[in-house]
Amino acid sequence: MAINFKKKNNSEEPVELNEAGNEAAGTRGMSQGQIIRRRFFQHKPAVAGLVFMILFTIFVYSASGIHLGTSDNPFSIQGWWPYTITTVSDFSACGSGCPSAAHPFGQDSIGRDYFALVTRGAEISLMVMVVIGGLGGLIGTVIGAVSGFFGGIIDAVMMRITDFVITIPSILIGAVIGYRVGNLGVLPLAVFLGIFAWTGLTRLVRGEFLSLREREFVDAARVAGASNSRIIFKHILPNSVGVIIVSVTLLLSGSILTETGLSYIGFGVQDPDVSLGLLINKYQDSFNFAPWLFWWPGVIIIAIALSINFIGDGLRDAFDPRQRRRIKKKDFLTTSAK
Amino acid sequence: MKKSVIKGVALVAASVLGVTGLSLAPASAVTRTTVVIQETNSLTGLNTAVVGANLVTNVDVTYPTGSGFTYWNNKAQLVRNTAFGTFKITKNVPGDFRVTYTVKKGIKWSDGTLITAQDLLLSHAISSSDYSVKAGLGDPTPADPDADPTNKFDSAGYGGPYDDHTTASSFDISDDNYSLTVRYDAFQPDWQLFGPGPSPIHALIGMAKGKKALQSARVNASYKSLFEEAYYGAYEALPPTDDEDYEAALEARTDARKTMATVAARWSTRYNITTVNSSTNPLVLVSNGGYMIDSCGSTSCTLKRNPLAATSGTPKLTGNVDTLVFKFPATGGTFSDVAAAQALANGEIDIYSGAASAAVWSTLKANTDATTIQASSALYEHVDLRVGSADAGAHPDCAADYTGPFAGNSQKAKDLRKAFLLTIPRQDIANTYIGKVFDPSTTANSTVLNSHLSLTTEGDYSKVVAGISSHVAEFSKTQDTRNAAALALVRKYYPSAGPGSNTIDVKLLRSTAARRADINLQIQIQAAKVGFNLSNVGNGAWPNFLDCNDYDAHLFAWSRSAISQTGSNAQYITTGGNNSYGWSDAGVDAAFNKFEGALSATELIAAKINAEKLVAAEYWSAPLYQWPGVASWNKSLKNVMYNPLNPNVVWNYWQFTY
Amino acid sequence: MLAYIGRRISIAILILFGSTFITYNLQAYAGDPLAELRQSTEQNKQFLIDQLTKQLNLDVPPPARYFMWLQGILGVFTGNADLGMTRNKLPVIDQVVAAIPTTVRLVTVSTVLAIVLGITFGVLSAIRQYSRLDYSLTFVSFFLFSLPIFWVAVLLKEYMAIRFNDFLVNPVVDHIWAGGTAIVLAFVLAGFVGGSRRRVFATFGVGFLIFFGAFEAMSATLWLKDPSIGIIAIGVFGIGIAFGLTHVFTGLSNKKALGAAFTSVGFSLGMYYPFQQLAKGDTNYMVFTALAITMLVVSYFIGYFFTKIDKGPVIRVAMLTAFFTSLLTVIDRVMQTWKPYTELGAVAGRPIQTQGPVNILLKSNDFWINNLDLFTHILLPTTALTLISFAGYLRFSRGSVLEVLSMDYIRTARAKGVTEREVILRHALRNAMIPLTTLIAFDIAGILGGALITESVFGWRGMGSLSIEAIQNQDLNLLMGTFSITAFLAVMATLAADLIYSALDPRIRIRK
Repeated sequence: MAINFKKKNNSEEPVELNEAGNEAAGTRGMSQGQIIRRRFFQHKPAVAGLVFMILFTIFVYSASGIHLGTSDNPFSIQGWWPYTITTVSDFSACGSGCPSAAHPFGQDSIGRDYFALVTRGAEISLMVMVVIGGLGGLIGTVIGAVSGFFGGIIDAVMMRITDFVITIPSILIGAVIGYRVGNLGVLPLAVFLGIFAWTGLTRLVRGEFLSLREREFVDAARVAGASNSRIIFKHILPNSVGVIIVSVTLLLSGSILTETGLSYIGFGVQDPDVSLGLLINKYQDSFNFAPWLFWWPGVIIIAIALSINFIGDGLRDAFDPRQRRRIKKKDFLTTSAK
Repeated sequence: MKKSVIKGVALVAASVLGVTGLSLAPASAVTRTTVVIQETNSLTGLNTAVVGANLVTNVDVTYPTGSGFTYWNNKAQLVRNTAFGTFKITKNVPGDFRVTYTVKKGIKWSDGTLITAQDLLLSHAISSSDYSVKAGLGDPTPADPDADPTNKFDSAGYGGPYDDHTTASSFDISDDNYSLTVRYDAFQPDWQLFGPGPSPIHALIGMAKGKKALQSARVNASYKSLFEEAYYGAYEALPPTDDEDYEAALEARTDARKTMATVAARWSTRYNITTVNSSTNPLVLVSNGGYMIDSCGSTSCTLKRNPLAATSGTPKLTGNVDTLVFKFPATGGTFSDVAAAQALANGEIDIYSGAASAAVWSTLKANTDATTIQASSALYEHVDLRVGSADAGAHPDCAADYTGPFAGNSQKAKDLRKAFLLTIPRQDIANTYIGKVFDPSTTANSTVLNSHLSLTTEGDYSKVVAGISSHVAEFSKTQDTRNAAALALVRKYYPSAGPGSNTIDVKLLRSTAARRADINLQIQIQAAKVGFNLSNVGNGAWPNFLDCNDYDAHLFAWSRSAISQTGSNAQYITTGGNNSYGWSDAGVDAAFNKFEGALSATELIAAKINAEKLVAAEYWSAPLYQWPGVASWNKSLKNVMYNPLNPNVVWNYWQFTY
Repeated sequence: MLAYIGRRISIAILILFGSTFITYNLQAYAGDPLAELRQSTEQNKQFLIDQLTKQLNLDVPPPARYFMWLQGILGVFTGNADLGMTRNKLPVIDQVVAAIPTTVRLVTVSTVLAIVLGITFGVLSAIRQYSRLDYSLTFVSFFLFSLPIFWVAVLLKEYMAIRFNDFLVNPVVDHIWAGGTAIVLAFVLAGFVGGSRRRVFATFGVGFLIFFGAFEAMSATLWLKDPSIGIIAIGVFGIGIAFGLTHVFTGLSNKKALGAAFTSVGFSLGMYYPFQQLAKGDTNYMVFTALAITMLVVSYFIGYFFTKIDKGPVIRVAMLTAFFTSLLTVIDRVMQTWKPYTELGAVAGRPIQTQGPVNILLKSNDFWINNLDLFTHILLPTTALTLISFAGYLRFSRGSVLEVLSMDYIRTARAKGVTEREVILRHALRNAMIPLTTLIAFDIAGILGGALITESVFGWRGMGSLSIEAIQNQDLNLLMGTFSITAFLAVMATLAADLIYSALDPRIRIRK
């Protein structure tokens, strides 16, 4: 491979704009939010990921319906798909549950509609993902920020607590939940995993804060009389949002895989609840026998994780104020002409 | 229609690659003489009689290194091994039941030492609590439940019927040292299972003396007599303290006990190894099977043909296999059948046998270089209903008394039990787990298990089922007919019960396994049509809750480790150790107690039918199906047969040949 | 500083005490060691339950039982630490000691590969931000990161082992298939090269012809049955490598660097025949390491003597060129072993294996055969692990480089006329690597923890699969054995990361 270091004058090539020129030319009169939004929408894969996630979520929830509450005390609204995960139907013509007109994704071994199982599984996996990612991201950011910003004894104590949590294996958390409170459903599992999922993020955020708080702009803000919270939220956090977003998206897509891994070991979501991880695990041996059972959950997990990562990538680019923008010349011309 | 799009694409891709239709050419002209057997768990030790060591893998690996009076064949029959010796009942009167075992003359341990009846003595020391206590080796079964057992032989053999019916001095050796008589205080219906097995006592004494190498024939002979003296000397009664021989006798007994205690320590620990290599003490490997352990590591064990195999007491080795390799997976619990199927397809292993699922069956079947067969395993799935508290007391975390819908023996409870059992879609369940396993296009006519006492693989199964034909017929009607009958029973007490009106809550205890969850759902759907509101929640700790009064029904599988006449008594007799549901009926107790006596084959069937009828009339339980098993092996390997009981597929290793 | 480290270590001990206590109790409450026996149909069930209760001290409540375990561990101070026995009465220490090398072998290879590949592609992706290459790498890395490992394992085994081994019987690639693969590879190549549209098309065309030709040649000669590179091809590749590395590190205009690189290639080629003699089947790692060191030292001096000014980059080019060219020689030597290896009875023409770390039937003293055997076994799990952990490094290094490139000092460097190559190699990369140290420290500490799922799926009995087994079998001592080691290393890793971080980045001060 060869790396091309030479600058070209070809009009198709990205040209580098200095920050001031770019911002001045393209974003004059726009609010911070508008700038971010516009930057985000320029990131096509991220937009594609976002559109996919929105459509997919709507599709899944509308098809499968909304299911809340515990198994003893359920609250459900049925979706438009005629089958539920507890409907057992006769097998379609080929006898082993292969995809048919009535069951486009096929049927599982006892005749349940696989489309219903997959959509419901996706619903639960999304929920697990959001809970773990949200909790982990929140705790991780707060602890990392406080620890990195204040330093000293606060930092020392917080970091030792982090060390402590790092050493607790999450697989054991899954095992205890599965064994002791497995009957409560998916939510407690997700919450507990989230409570233990923030350590990596914390260290990154802390590292970022440690290095940023020594920077001149922080000193400048302090001299200007800004309060700690103002410095944290208005000055340092926007600068470290790139790192946070990348980590949170990795955490989000990682958590869907964590749940899958736990299912493999036998400590994830349990039947009769269903998740993509559970389905993958249950049908990992169906590669030859019933390929439709093997492929669907895997493909959907990949699609979700992929979209989330792209959204994260786009957000990172959009939020990071130091981001060096390389905009194609023609884009630049059209925007400035407006 | 059957072929999915993806499968089609894969086929196209494969044919583009030009790989289809090619079979593996033999890499070399040399005939293969190694058989690699896939195990589903790791090896944990070489002495399967130690507590906790009687595990499938340990049994499989050590089975080819030993032989005894009997073995299980692939039809779950106990076969007498005349190459090792013979045995027969020599006395059978009330209060005195004797079996005499005779070791064949001339058979030898792998180090050349003759096998004699002295080598059978140890099996009593590790099975008789009375011996252990009287020989000063500690009490394995203390009467006080809070006291810790103190046995020096860390043996899993204490505490069963053999222990209950023998005493310290139950073993007598004949003068020629080749026969041994076991004396029981009553007839033992399963006496054939209790036969003593040989142990290399000379090697144990050698280890006790700190030897690290094989000893000469003369020394080994002296070790044998030393063991025999210690064995008898350890429990010899002492003369009165004022007797002049008292001191000498006490000293002799103390010495004997010391020897036995050292032997016990060696026996209990020295075989608990998983690594065998050139630095392993050869005394540990002294054995009498067709093969000897050559080396063991964390992922495999290699067995080489015993040079003295012809005189080891093993059936004649007829094959050309000189090396057996047992391959262990990384972990037990997560072992995937498909990993084994893929390893077989890739030529890494020669034999795999295990539980079958539709997926693993089809993956194995797709491998044209292997022979794959189906069979029924010794594991059977069933639903039990609670009637009351367990005889031994209820689980402390649960209700003290059972008050659910099935409680007691009132007509109402019986009707509800019957109604619930009637709705269970046994045929659908069997079709899912047996029919689809063996032929995905077949979804009907898979065998439902109809007997509580005989497995479908046992010879008397059809006769027993014929004996309870009216009951079987009633429970084999179409789902709609059975549901209608069930609904009628339920409506006697709950007139409004029916689909959409589920007034009777039934809480079912099951594991979190996917298969159980599916069965649970299948039952739940039918039960809902006749007014039962069945739970569907798994419990990871379910074995701990079998005696819990909060549950009304239980779904799990019993595994048979042997086919014995009294094997089911613990489940149905009021005081039985496996009767956790308060099942209690004098008639049933009497019927099952019959199995404790001597029964001819016909009498046994009659007794079974009688017991089945009484159990059926109580509506306690419904057997569902027998788990399917599968075995698949390298096509060029001959004479492999599936055996539902341990040691599974290696049971006839002496016939393996390429 | 020493006082700081001392304080941190004493806190670490406290943390370990706390976390072992919590873990012990969590595990004790996560299952029932008697579960299996409770389902037993053995006639002496009660006896067996009593025995196990005594053996595992189940009548002692877990918090108290923890201290019984701790007492054994604390023996470490008196010289006889006791990790206890497993449920199966095997010493825990033996199990752990046996598992460590297996795990280290598996996880080290993939961690190193993931770090090297991840950083390389991450940097590339960053300096070519928003190019086709960047988008493709982003997509590929996200895609790989999204794969559930055991799901992928099934596919890897099916296609990379079983079907590949089937294919080896007659390794002839169909024309259509060769063409299709060549198109894909040429497309990837064109993506890497980048540049103007014409250049992309040219690269694509040339690449396609080369790949297609190579496939056809491989089919015609049944190359996969008996692969080799040969000294001529090594020479050709070596010259290519020399050009490539010189271009990256100094620019082709630097004739000194180019000369040094060519000399290194010449030296490596000169070593080809001596190497064949020195590295026969009876060779060992000592000889091998000595040769490697010689190669590096000689190439260092080649670089050193070729130029008088700015020796660093020239030395780097010379050493890397020599390294890669020699690597080709080694690969060539391994390839010579391929045919004899596949024809061994233990291998039976199916080299790529799906289970376990070594071929258990193989009894060979040949250095190359044994190493090739390690390779054919480690291939699938390493591929799976690397693919999945590579994405993290790629994303972080890309982000880090981008961030550094937006800093003022980079602009200053550019303003004063430093070339883009110098800016990236000298100014940006070094600073961009600092945040990665944390990640690397944790991953290295995590090596001993093993790869829980990968080890199980591929039948490697390492720390990861041992831990799973311990949890599933309720084997407390065994779990604590593996866990205390991983916990200890995790705590040490945070300490190491903090120290390295503050050493590398003077802006971060450790507060006394």
